[in-house]
Amino acid sequence: MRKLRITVEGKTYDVVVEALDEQGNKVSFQALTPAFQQTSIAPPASSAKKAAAPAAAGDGAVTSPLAGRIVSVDCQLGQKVASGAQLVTVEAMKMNTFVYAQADGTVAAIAVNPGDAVEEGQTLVTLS
Amino acid sequence: MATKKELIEELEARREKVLAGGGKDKLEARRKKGLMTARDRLDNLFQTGTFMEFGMHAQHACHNFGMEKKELPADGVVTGTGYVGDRPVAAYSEDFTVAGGSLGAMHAHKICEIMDYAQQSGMPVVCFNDSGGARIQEGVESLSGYGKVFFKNVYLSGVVPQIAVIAGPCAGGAAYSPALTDFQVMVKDQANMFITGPEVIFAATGQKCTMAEVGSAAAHATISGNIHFVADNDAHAIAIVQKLLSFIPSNNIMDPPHDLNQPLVLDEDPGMDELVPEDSKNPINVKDVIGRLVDNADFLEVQMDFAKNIVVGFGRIQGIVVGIIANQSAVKAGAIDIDASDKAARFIRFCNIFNIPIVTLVDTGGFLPGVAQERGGIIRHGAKMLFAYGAATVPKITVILRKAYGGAYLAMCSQDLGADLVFAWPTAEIAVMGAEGAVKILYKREIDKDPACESKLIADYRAKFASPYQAAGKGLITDVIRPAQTRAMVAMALRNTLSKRETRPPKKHGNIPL
Repeated sequence: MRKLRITVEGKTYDVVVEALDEQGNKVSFQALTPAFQQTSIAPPASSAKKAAAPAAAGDGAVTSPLAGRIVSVDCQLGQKVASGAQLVTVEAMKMNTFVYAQADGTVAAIAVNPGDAVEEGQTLVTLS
Repeated sequence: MATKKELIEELEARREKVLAGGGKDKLEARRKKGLMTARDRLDNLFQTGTFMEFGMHAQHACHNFGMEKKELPADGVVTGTGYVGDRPVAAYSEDFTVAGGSLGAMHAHKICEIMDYAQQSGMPVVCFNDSGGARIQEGVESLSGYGKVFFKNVYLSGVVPQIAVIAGPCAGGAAYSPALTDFQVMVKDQANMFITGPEVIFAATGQKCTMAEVGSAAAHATISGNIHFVADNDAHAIAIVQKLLSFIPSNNIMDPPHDLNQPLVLDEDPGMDELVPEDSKNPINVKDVIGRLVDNADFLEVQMDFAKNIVVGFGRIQGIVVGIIANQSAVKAGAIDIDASDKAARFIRFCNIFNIPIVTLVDTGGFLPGVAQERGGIIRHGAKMLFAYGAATVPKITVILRKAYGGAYLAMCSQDLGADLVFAWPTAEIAVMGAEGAVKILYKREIDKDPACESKLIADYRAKFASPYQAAGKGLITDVIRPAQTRAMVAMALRNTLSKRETRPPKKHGNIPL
């Protein structure tokens, strides 16, 4: 239900507008224009053997999304982290790229130090 | 006088038989599985009662392998026109319950007929692919049928928009028809698409793989880049098609569905100022910028899971339909790589064909360096972006948010590539290369003598060149604007350039590096 004010030839009327479906039942205005959602999808798992990365990426390995230089390690050994927590900052292309935890876990190993050069796909941190 | 009752009855009986497709039980079985039938898909795409069918009574002419005894309702493909919103749209929908939706000569003929009609009438074509492939019994005629459909796809390309929904299997040569259309929507879980599937791959090469890896919506949306949208189910796929159609014109001589009735609002948007991080090295999620730029934050992202370092899609800015191309500095530092180039170039060309103004948001440190990129042909792939922008004659508005370095600055529609207007935020860094690299070349001797001076030289270079004012001083940008002014300025720029006409020397077509 919405209240609207309309003016016709200088006279003002307050009107109440209701949204109805095709059967004449009251519905919300949102129901008339259902929200449009797009679907995002993750890549499928690969059954092929992993290409020989500089340090083979295993379970719980958090890898660098691109080649660059480590600006800072933003987590500590043994720290419990939630999914989405910032773990490492990599600089490349004049921009910082933040590397986040993909799942909850504990920082089991930190493989890099600030200033290190890293390759794309190289393991930065291992979560257990 | 009245039409003879028997004739009416015969018509109704024939209709009922065709409408049942491969049989009422098969249709019900599909619905129980949560799948729409071929006709359900068209009924849901079109406004109720507006579907006009072409060739309902078509029959195949195959006399081999017992086919002469088989009747295939509508020959396995439902074709016709209907209304989506207030516009007519042509469509065809393959019926998997009729001989597995297999394509024979009549099936192909019906598809070609509806495509011809769409081209002559200037209406978009939507197709639902759900077919086991060639109808083997018809032999080379079915192969020829595919060839004819491909030829029509090419013939119509650039005249009317073509949208393919991969709603079931789409294997072998059949996959090339959707690949020749403008946009592909794939329904996850129920659809797969491949040239050679896992079995053939294993037989031919010994490589083991899964269908998910080579033929799923997930594989095509994220890795191969073959599709543009992922749908949860048939209804969602149809919603995506309808949403897409709401942004694009029916043909190449119409304007897109702009809404020019709303008054131009030139208010500032302080929220845009707040999006910019203080440290220029920290990324901006460019989708937040786009969300503030387009009306009602309504942005239809195209290929959202592929080459995420560049974002492309449709929106309206104060009523005017635009195609947006934006570097995503939150992914791979916004660097342009092979996949990002391909994704952006194809999108730019679609916009140009269908008179959709292009808004480019620039925030990239450059083309992605690396052995894989160079050996993969980043030169010819990156050149696609230069070519697509340079060849586009639609209004082109560029906003340089932050980083605009080297060739990537040009590849993101600089003034030199034909941008009509270029705005830059005060945070813009427009330079031939980054300060660190430039100083190493410019002051090699000085740094060799006294390495300590390098950081000061870098700071000096950055202060002088990492700003919009060098470019502004040379007349390479239209104006430097506050982020808060962006929506208003771009909206005005779009209104001003709406009637832009640019003619070029006649030619068959340019030779884009493919």
